[in-house]
Amino acid sequence: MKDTLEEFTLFIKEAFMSELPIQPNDDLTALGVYDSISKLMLIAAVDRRFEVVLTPQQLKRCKTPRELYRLVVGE
Amino acid sequence: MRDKLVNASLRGVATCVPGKVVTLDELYSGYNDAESVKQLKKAAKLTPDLGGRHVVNSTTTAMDLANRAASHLLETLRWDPLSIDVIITSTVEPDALVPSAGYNSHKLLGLSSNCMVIDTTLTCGAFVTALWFAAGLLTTGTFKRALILFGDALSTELEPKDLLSRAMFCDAGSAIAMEHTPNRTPISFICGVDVSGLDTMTLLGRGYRQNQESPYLSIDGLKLGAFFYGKIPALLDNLACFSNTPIGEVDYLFLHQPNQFMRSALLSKIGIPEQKAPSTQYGNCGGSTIPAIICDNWSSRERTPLSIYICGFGAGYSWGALHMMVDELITLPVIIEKDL
Repeated sequence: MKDTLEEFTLFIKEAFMSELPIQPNDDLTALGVYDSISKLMLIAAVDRRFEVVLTPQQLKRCKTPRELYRLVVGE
Repeated sequence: MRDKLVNASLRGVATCVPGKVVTLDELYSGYNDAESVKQLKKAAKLTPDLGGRHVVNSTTTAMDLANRAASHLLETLRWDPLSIDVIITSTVEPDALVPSAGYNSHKLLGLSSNCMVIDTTLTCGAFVTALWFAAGLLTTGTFKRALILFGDALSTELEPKDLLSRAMFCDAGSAIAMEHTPNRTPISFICGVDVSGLDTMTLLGRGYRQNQESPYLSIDGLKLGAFFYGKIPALLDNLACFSNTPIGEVDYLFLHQPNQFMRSALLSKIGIPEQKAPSTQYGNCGGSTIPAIICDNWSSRERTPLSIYICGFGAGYSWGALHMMVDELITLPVIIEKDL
């Protein structure tokens, strides 16, 4: 069974090792948690869990957990 | 590029680091602004057990470290300097352009006038490529002994405010001894280059092209990391087929470690246990990272022969992996040179 948006958002928070809460529509860059290292951590975490290897270009286009969810899990 | 070379073996590895240690507290001392704090958090994510970093003093160069490692190695192996047929150096910080690093090392080590010099600037991906050069020269028997030197003092290339990179890199020099040895199991090499990554690690301001580029090392960690996260597991799969040695059957994988996070992520994807792929406490030492890992972990009590993979990667993009059987390998624990 595929992840819900809320579960995926929690997964992102854990992948980033973020101490701050993250909501599905938050702008990750504005939250200060979407730096190059966090993106690298996300690439590895998404690959482990979903067997999808994201590119830096794809991550650049996705600003929120919701947009990442659409990209990785689908609607 | 795929190649199998016979009649060459790895005989010795030595690594030197300078005595001066900069602790994380010292590194961040005086940097209390938001950007510095952010970099500190990033560094902690990348290298959770980050300790101090060894850096050269103002009078020591990268090749001082490499030459010292070579002296220790020749003495330990009891190799007469006059028996060396070729010296290969890799550094981006030669003492001078002319005479080149290799010629200076040739003089300092007292090598023979028959010993040839090859200078390169291969950076982090250097290890496997340099071993391929050497093995190619040793395979026919015209050259009997090769010495390979790596010198990197990356602390001198980093912008003072680039605290993240300063926390990642350690200055080090290393020396590798290889020898013509008939009837050896072939060493299998796979090396490659993809210049789409040419802008991901640059030191433009130190070249001769007149421009306004920064004199500091510039690194796009995301692009580099994402590229090699995809590339290295596939490279090792190809090596397994080419060498007919599955990764599960090797005794050790010596893998370049840009930082601990990348190392762990790659090992997890490759599916090899951490104890088979040891690391070094000295962090990213450029071309000397793999020698430092070997010196930190190899023990003379190791049963031999051992089946090993070695994999290096870095600027370019460039990468190289090899499989070889190793026996009678002499290594020294990483040497901390108090005077350098």
